[in-house]
Amino acid sequence: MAVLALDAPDGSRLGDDLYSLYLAAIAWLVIPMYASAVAQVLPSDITDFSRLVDVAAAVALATPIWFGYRGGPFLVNRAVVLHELGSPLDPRGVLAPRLARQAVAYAALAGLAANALTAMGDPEEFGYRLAARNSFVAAVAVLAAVLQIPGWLVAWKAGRGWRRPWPAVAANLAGIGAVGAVVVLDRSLSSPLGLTALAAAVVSGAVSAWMVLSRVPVPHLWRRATALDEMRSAALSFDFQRVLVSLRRAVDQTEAHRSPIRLARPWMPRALWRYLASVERGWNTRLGQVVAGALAAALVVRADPANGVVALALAATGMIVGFELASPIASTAGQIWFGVHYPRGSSPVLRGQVATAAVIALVIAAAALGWLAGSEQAGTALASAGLFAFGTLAAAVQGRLGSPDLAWMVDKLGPILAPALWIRALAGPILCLALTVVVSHGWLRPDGYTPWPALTLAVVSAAVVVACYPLEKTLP
Amino acid sequence: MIELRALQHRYGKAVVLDVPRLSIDASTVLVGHNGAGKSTLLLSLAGLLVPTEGVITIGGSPAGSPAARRRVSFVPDSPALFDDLTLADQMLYVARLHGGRRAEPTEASGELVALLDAGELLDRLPSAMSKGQRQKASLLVATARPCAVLLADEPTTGLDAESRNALLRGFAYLEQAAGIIIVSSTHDGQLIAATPGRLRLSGGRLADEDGEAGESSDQADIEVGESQREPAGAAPPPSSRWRSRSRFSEE
Repeated sequence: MAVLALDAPDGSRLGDDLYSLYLAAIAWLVIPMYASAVAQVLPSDITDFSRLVDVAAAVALATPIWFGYRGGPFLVNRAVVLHELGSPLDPRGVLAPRLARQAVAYAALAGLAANALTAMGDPEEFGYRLAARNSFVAAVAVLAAVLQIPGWLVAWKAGRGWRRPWPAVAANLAGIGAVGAVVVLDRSLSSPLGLTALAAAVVSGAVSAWMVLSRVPVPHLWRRATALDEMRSAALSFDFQRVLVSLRRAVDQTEAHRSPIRLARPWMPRALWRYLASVERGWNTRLGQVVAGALAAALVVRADPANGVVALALAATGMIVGFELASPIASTAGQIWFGVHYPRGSSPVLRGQVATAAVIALVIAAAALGWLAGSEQAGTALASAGLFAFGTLAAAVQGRLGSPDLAWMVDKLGPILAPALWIRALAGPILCLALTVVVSHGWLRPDGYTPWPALTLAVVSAAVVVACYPLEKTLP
Repeated sequence: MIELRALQHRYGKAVVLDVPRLSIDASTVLVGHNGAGKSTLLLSLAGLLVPTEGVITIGGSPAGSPAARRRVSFVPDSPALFDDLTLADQMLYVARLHGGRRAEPTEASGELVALLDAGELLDRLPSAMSKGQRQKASLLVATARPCAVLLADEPTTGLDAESRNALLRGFAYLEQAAGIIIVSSTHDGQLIAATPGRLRLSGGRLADEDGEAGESSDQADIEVGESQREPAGAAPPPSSRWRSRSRFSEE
């Protein structure tokens, strides 16, 4: 049943494409909305926040050293490793487009997140210009960081008989050094000097990537591709323990929970965090993105920023970020047999979802308190944060219930579960569409002056219920 | 064609493969219990696993090098196929990856399609194939481009008796007509019996027919070569032509 809706008879993965299109449409809504918001430039003399972003950008540029050690950005399937990388063609032709896609995707995500965070902090004081500035700095820094990862990957994984790519390492270090020096010298990354350093980091990252892409160790990619294949196979056979074992193999983590920097994110097991990976999309999806972007731009021309479109953009951003965070967790921990079949305690895996839900609840509570306290400013900021949280909740719904993978597995499990799961899988998109409608009509405002506060409460409550209700209970 | 010297692979402290010296010049089947090191050896030969120590050369080139990859084609235990290409397109794509824009699948792969009775699979996507059919497809894709050595990791897994016989006929054809050296790992008695050379692995080491592992330090050199083949001209039917003999088993 599910497969009829998700997979076209010719196997074109229609469901995947539609789902990607759906996400792309929301992403394209965010960008032009913020672009239009920049027109309403507000003066900003807040430098501390920018300073924080600059430091974060410099730190982000150093993280590829660790990501390279953990196996790098490439997630290719076994056929690609065996046939394309095993052919006489230059491996750069195979890997460079994938790296570029991942770099652009992560950079866009970082930019959107920085933009949203800045605007959430205090939009009236900070202003959209600062949000745009921080967004740009974050995006460029992450772009440079992702481009650096292959250099570190090859440097770390250069096994016996492999020559370490010292020139690429030097190029990476030069990029990190340039940005780090600007930050240490207490100069802004948005100043001409800072922009030059960022540009140097991007160029050096691209150069180092180009130098090493032909030397990315094929055995490493094969091991990862095989592990991911095994993971999917294990999930289909309800062998959740083997799923986790394969997951650890995929990220070169043979011993669980022994990360030296585990304290940095204790709420999430490392293997699950590392499973965050890009989704390869075909030309048809990219065409859909362009069309969706044009439609979104047309919508923005007619939209009134005062009636909540900025908040909608925040919610959409939250949804994208939340989806990226929630879907890999959901793809492993949120499966229907997890609570039944996993032989050990579920808390090591589920604590990520629990922590996310707790944070969301706190933000919503803070928003409600600010609103009840009558503080217009607090109400505005916190209500926006609430909408952001709503977006994350919607994303959790999507990630948990709407993934094509899950529907595909449901199809394998038989038609008994399909109707109930389908209704729930559709709940996320329906809630998001409902949000779009109520915000665009001004019924749900981000500034604390909503005409129907009960509606806000009902929408958020429904999202909470749908997102948090244990899926396992729908099992017969 | 294939030379191994002082090959050793370890996972942590566990030695999973320890082969002091080995030469393979004829089709050979690797046999042994689970965990004996068969797949590890095949992956090492395919250049998809870097052994902890030792040297592997394929036709004089180090395993995993571009020159070696051109000579070796690999059929993994679990088929590695492109999800969005039909079998015919996969064969064409792989042929062109290796031979350029105008390359076509090898004649051998075309013959194999007939031998394996896989004509009806050509227009199918992998998602529309059964496990055994994907196994056949994997072999067809691997032979769609020229190679001197075909490595196959448990190629008969998931095949019914008829398909297994067809696979054996296909292997016989590849070896006899296309001159391809086939190195496979298997637990399948028919494939073992039908293959000229046999190497038994036990605990990561080459072993005798009783499964006793040889000493890694003073083990004699092993060669599986032309001398183990049946004499030309006395070609019996495929099922019996692929009989097993190797210098190692004789020793």
